[in-house]
Amino acid sequence: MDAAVNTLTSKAELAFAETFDRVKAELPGADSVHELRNDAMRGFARTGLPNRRVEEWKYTDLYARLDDAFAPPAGEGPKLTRDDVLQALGSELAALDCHLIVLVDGQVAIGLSEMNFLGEQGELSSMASALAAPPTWLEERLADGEMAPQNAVLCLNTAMMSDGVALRVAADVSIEKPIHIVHLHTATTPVGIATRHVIALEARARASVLESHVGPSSAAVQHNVASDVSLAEGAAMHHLKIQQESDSATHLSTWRVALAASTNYDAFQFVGGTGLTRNEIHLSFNGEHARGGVNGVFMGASEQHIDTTLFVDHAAANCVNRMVFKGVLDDAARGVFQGKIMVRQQAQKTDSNEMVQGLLLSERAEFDSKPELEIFADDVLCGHGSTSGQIDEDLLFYLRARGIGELEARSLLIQAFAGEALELIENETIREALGEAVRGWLAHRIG
Amino acid sequence: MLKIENLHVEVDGKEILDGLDIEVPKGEVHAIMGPNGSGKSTLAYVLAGKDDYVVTKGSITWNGEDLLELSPDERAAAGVFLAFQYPVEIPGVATMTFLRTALNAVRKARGEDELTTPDFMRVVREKAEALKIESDMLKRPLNVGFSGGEKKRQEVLQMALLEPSLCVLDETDSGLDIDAVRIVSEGVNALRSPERAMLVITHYQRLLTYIVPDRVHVLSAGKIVRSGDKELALELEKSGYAEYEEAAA
Repeated sequence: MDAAVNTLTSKAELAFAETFDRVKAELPGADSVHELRNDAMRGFARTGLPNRRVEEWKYTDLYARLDDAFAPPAGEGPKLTRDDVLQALGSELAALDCHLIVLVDGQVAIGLSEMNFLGEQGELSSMASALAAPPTWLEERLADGEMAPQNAVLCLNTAMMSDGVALRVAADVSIEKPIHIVHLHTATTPVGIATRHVIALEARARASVLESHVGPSSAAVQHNVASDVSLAEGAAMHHLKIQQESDSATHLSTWRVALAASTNYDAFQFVGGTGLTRNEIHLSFNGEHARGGVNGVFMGASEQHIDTTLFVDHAAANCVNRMVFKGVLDDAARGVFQGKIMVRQQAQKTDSNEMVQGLLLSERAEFDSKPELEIFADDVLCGHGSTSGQIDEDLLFYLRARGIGELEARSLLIQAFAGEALELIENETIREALGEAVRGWLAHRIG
Repeated sequence: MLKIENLHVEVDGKEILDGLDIEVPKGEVHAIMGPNGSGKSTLAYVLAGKDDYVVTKGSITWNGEDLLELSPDERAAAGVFLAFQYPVEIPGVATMTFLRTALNAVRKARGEDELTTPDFMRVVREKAEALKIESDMLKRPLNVGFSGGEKKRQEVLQMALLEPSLCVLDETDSGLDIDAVRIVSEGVNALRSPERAMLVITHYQRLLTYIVPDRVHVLSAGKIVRSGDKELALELEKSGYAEYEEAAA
């Protein structure tokens, strides 16, 4: 055994290592993939779970918060029907006109998924089958240690990934309907699930991908999900995520997005639940004249902890980046936002801006925000803003003076607050579905 | 009838209204004039039920109903409407959504049916046209980017939609040019009716040449120090408030 493994000390860390040793032989993949897995696990063994002394994890002490790690679900899961899936999604999401790909407990349910719509216009398969003989484009992305080096969560993902979606869209192909990747968890006992998606858009290709996590499970599911996205020159992608899991769930997510020249990447993340969330996004501008937007809304209640951490790397000139995040926090929920923008010396004429606003609905709620700029180029336009506050009593009084009851008035103001981020979503039906998710959250919380 | 008796109001522990008495019968328009700091806006806010305005003594009733027992939204349902001196901007709330939510809330509280979408659109369009409010303005978030005059017209539009029985206008003329004052006044005058009482709060006489009051009251240092007919407003315009400020001091 690798001597470095001795650095693992906590119960959860040891459980991750033990689980890997026990199940690794059954995990999918060619020999090269198993090498990747072993490397990744050694990487994890060197770092262990990050604690608050690691700057990027200052507000989310994963070492302290994960008190155990769970094994993947054993054996055959329940057979779900398409109706089960649509019901779990809820009416708004179910009504979206999408290519549906369904993962049940971390495995692509082929019978419930539309896997053949691409035809000759690219490649689409489950990650489990792609890993058996990984094509170069896939292997390159999986092995990319440049983005997010020393990342324990990503290491665990690579080591344990059971399935996911491997998608390559050929040059000049536009996929009209959004591809909706559904993650459903049916577990009744604690399980650990690691899924990995790799999405590669070749030159001038266009696609929309929606990842939803709205599982019916109320068990302690630890979900580690990573998406590797690359856009070749002139490609464009909408990338959306909806996450509404139970209070006992843990959701650790890593998006790594590499943008070539003249690409357009437009992302939105909505978090409306989940006990512990870490949404990490690495966005790299590698070619000139690329445009990237990452926006989001997070809504937390009870003792939920929602961490959004962004790393934006401007490595090429003339790129534009926008980030707008809105957080609504009730009860003893805690929101964390970290946004680091790095502008390298060659990235002249960079235009990069981040804005995050927290709305605290309770005296026990907390919002920690840390925008960061690191700029080495001398001709750039960069800015960041961060605010945190409560509902404006003057606005509330105005609405009430017009006959609108207090709860409805509050709800309207919160919707308006979140709406300023939601309106950045181009796809109208998805925007409306998310608006409905916000209203649903509010109806549940404040009537 | 609006009946205010011996009203004492404190804000942040400081007494602003100090035994104010006034009666406005249905069908009448009364003006409240007075120097800055006399308590005019405090009276407006207390009528609408704003927090932080603490009534320490006295009473306010509207048609016999104790307003002080009611929350701001209950007062609106009971027919009270305050046209704000400084209407707030609410980014993210579409004007039409707001108007519809408010109208339906008030109708529901009054036991009336909600309006259907076409009916609602028709009513809003009619009333907006009369106030020369462009349909463009209705598409924007509430009051966001509106000029002072547009905001005040928006207030009168809301008043016309909600059909209150007691209208309180707080400095509705402030910040308006003469054309805007005329448009707003016409809107207000159109709402005068035997069933409706109005309290028009203003610093200047100008507004009262358009909205001609039945009675004029002078508020100084938290109480009514003089009442008269519409001629009183003209007299104040000439003499100013100096004598009342001295009287208060």
